Amino acid sequence: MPSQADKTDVANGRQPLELPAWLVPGGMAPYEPKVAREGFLRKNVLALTRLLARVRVGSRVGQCDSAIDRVLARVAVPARLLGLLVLLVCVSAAANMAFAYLMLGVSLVMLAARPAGRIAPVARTAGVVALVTALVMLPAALLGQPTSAVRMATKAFATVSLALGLFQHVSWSQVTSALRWLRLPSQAVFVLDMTLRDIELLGRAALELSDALALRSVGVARDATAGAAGVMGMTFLRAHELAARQSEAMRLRGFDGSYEPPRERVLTPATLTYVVVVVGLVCVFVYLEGAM
Amino acid sequence: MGERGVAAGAVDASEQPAMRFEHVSFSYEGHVALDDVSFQVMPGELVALSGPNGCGKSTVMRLASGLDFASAGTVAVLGQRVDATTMSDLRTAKRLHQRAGLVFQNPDSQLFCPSVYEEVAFGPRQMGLGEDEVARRVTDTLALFGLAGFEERSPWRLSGGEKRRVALAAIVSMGPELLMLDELVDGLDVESLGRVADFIESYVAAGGTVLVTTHHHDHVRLPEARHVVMDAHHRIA
Ligand SMILES: Nc1ncnc2c1ncn2[C@@H]1O[C@H](COP(=O)(O)OP(=O)(O)OP(=O)(O)O)[C@@H](O)[C@H]1O
Ligand SMILES: [Mg+2]
Repeated sequence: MPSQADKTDVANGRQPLELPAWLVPGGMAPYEPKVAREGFLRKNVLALTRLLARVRVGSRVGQCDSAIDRVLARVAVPARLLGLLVLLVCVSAAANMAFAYLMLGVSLVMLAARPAGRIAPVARTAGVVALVTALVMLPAALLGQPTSAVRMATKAFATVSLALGLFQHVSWSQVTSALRWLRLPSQAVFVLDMTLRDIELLGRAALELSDALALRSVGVARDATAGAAGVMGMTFLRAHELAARQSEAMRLRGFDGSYEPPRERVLTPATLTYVVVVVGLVCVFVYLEGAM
Repeated sequence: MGERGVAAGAVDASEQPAMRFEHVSFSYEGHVALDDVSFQVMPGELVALSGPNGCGKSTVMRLASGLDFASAGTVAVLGQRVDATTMSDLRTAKRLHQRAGLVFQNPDSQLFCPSVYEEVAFGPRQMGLGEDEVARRVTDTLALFGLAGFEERSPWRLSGGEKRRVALAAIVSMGPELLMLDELVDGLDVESLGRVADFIESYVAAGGTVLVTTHHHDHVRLPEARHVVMDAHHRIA
């Protein structure tokens, strides 16, 4: 279509480019990939990003998968959030593994109470996180602390599956209003909201980046972790940027930055029972740590 | 190993289309994206795939790269069938990814390294090339796309058009035989567009195959291209 040539510079006497020899198709010996196996870390990071894209806040709101979930659904969200936070701190801080194993038990029981189809997404995510943790801890294990990798993996599994158990079943607006009830300033809630609300979009970003990584992983890298680490880092950068853009967009549409605390009554019998159970677990934690 | 024999296989390869879609259908979770699509791209050809938003242009490229698999029909790229079975062999998948490069529509999804240099060097390093050769490829590619001097910049902090060119450079540095450019020409200023068009022209003249997508069917910037047009019903018009 030479008539269109005026719309472009291509046909108008530009110097033809000289391609470097390595770029001339067929000019180089064909490349033969040497690896027959995907790198272990890369494979798991890819699996993790794929799972992140699938499990997101509020994906199971209003659906109770088990009797335990039905009971928990009657507990006020602020209490659940606080309870989760306290338990996570305890699990992370526990020097005595008995408490970590106890919480692992609790999370497994909560998982097992669900129908089979609902176990896999949570268990697999928690499992992959635990595996990655164990891998990261591997150097410590090799340096003569063989149990530390197992400890960290156990803690990671318990915390992730407990957290997912909560966040899948509450909506994001319930979480923000709960945070307000806990007297977090609107500003802080706003930051959290912006960072986390579009976790699904974030998951999609992670998916796309891991596709890009797969397309360029045509061999074996000298630094096998570089690409996987880059994908993780870039995912968080994009989340940050996305959150910033969204807050701007919300301001432009008249959002004044205040969040409403929950309207329904918080101190119900179910909530009080829940609080008692959590306090009980904290007592166990204190007892076990003291017993060391 | 057979698909890419240097002597005997090459004779067949010149007859074979570089890309072949035969009655291909594909849906995303029940949402139809391609409906009975058939077309071919011959080696050394420049083909522009155009059509309205959402007609399935990007999906064609995802299927050709083995990121998704056709639910019906056949996809073959550079003589290699692309389906779940063939791509489960990592060697085959990696060989395909080196030979057939895909530049995404959204460069933010494609760049994951801390610097432009690392970004463009990623593929060549994966291929096991020595650092000298890697450096040469990075310099050559950056020069081709007007990016000399960008080596230490963070891809994340570049302008949209710069990111697009870095993404293109990151794929081209692997030395592919087939290039798929998803809306690459959009968002490029006149000068960058000229560079990319010059590159495409030389690359095709040297025997490379290029598939670009565009929805600017009326004023395409690549006058030499053969046009394949899709319609809103996810079919070839
Ligand atoms: N991940 C996805 N999940 C669900 N539907 C999708 C997904 N990606 C694309 N689609 C749908 O599939 C169809 C084809 O999408 P595709 O991205 O291939 O279109 P396109 O021709 O590239 O459009 P554009 O010109 O806007 O780039 C569209 O209707 C789109 O809504
Ligand atoms: Mg598209």
